[in-house]
Amino acid sequence: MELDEILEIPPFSLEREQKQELLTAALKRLTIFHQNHCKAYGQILRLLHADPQNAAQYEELPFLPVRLFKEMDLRSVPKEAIVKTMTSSGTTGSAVSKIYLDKATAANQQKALVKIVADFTGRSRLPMLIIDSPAVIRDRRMFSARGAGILGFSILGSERKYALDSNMQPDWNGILEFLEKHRGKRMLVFGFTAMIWEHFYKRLSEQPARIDLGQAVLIHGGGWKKLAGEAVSPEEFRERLHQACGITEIYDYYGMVEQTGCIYMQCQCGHLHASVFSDVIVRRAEDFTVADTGEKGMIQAVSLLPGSYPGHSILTEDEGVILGEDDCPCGRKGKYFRVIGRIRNAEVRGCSDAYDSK
Amino acid sequence: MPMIQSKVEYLFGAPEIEVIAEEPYAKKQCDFLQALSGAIRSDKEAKRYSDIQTFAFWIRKASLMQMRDDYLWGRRCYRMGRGLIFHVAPSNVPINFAYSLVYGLLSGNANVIKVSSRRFVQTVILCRIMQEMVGREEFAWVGRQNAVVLYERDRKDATDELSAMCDVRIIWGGDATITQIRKSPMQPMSTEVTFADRYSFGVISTDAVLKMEEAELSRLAEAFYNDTYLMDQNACSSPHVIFWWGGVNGDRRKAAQKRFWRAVRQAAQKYGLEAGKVSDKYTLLCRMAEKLEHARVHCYENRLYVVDLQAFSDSVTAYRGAYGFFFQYGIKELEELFEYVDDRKIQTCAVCGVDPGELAEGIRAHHIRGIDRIVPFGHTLDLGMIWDGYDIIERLTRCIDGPRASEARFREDRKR
Repeated sequence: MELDEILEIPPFSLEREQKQELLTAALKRLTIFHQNHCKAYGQILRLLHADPQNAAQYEELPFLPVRLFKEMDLRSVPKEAIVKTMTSSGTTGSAVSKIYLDKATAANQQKALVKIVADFTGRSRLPMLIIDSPAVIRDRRMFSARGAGILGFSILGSERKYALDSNMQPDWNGILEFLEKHRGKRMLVFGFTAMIWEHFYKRLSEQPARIDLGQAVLIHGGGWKKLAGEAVSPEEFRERLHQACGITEIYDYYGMVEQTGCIYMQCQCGHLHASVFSDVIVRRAEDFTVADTGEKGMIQAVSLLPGSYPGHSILTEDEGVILGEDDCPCGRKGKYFRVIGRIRNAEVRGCSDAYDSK
Repeated sequence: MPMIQSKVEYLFGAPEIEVIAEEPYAKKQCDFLQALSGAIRSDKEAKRYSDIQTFAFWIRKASLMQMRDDYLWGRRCYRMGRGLIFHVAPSNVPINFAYSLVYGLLSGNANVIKVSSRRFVQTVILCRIMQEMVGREEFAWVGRQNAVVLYERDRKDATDELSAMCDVRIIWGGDATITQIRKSPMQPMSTEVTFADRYSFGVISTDAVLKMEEAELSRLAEAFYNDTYLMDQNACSSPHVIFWWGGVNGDRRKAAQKRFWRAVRQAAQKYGLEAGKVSDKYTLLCRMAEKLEHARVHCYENRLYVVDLQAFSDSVTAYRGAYGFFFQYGIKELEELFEYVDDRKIQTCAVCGVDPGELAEGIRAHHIRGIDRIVPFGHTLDLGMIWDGYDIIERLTRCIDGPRASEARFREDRKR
């Protein structure tokens, strides 16, 4: 099946066997394509003795460590075909991932994202409040993960309002005006977890009017790392936002800039779901064998979308656990899982690099 | 009397440092270290740390006397400590500061040691034990003449002051650290000992491995484990490339290699292979794919990666693994080795079934700039009074030219 056709399949409709068959065929094809079109990727596959042609299951296909995208330029199409370069936001000082997109890959990412989110918010486009600054998306040639996320999601809005100004200050008047205009209507609120907490939730108390988001659906992602310092748990995040502005429908999602589009949305049962466009495999650190359901391990993410760069099968630096498959009470088919967090950086012994680095 | 003005934390000693030059291996230094060895070995808390125990073993009486004899035998003139040594200890080997202190004490100097702000528990324990000892009259001088200080890496003011004050500065590497610390000037007469980033390798005789009994092979694998995994293969002296000498017939060499690596994998079962290490190691392997275009990798799960090299497309020192990730290359004659190791970055050559003397001869004959040490596997981490190509006592003392140290004097000194 071609990717175009796959993208027409309802994202949470396939049962294990059908999905396995679909993924195996498509990922084999992708692996062979990248092997032949990205020299560095081909060299890695040779070194790993990978034999995509003869893989019986997509679990047997090779995977690239995600950090490689920070250290190498990996592309499978000519330079001229690149229309967008996405970068991970990356903590200060560290290297950033560079993801090269051609027209088709960029379009497919958008398509997949819309399909996945629509399964949660409904098909019609909604007025959308973006908890971020429009400054983030200004340079369209170089996208940060944040910018890409906002731009990707903004297509779901019928009308868009940025809640923060270019100095990351809340534009309360503008927000109230927007809410007034769409009073009583279902609405979409989107933002990154840390931004929502830091620049929206924490500032709510400084203006007298009540911001009522009782009718809104909040979708947020980007991880909990930045909030870990403040020890804000997902439960507390939901509870506090609910109390502050009446919002009840809150969906967290898991995703990565290396596989934009294929996000993993959290359902009302608190489970992250893999769509038919992608999947997660949890592997044991000891030997990369596939972990059992319920067993913690390293998360490998596969996606059918990356056509312009070999990012269709990557080993993330996150740990997680598969909770089940096809039987989530929310009714969605496919694997559902939980992300435990980033794997701990190795504390290296030895005598080189001895200068304190905190 | 020098007085440290910068605000730093004292884990041992005080801001005021009494500087009295002593001769190397003076009795009071040796007595203190022996007593310290005993105190460590009877300390409940210290018992839990094998690195502290190894250190205590190194400064036990028999070992100190051996070091002293080695020094006295080689002595051609009288030597005296240079005065005050400022040590910058590394931030990832907790016990290292103690070895550095021993260097300073045995060479007859006063010492200020900056330890990592990571505040290793081993450092705290040792400082506590020493602090308890200086309460005794006979060891009070140690507390007056030495200090262990702790401050953050960005405190250039403190490094400036201590550098301006010292007669010798010892910097335990990382090249980046050395470059950083060197921004703080020293007095014109002062000298420096730096332990920079180094590279190490090994040579194994194919025949030796094939002839080994199982028990002997296990011992070799255990020794290899200690040289590498024990320090995440990140010590300067941990080997990365293994040269297989002999076994011209490829099958013999292959058999020996298989035998050896299987034993290593077995020995490495106890290694804590966390996800973070696996991620680093796998990333490193993939990143090297271009360099390893004609190579073949054998993965023993994620515990052990071994890459068969067909040729070196880059300097040997570019083939660097981590957490149990090695390269191997076959040579027919030992002589061939010298083509690859003529690089001053190379520190230790670990050997099995190879005569160290023959290698040393080769270094001389081929005018090789690399290889500062040739030791059997299992001993690459043994820190001694000669380290990284330096004769430590020689570097930390001044030499009084003219009068010769006679044999009669040697016998006299030995009796003390």
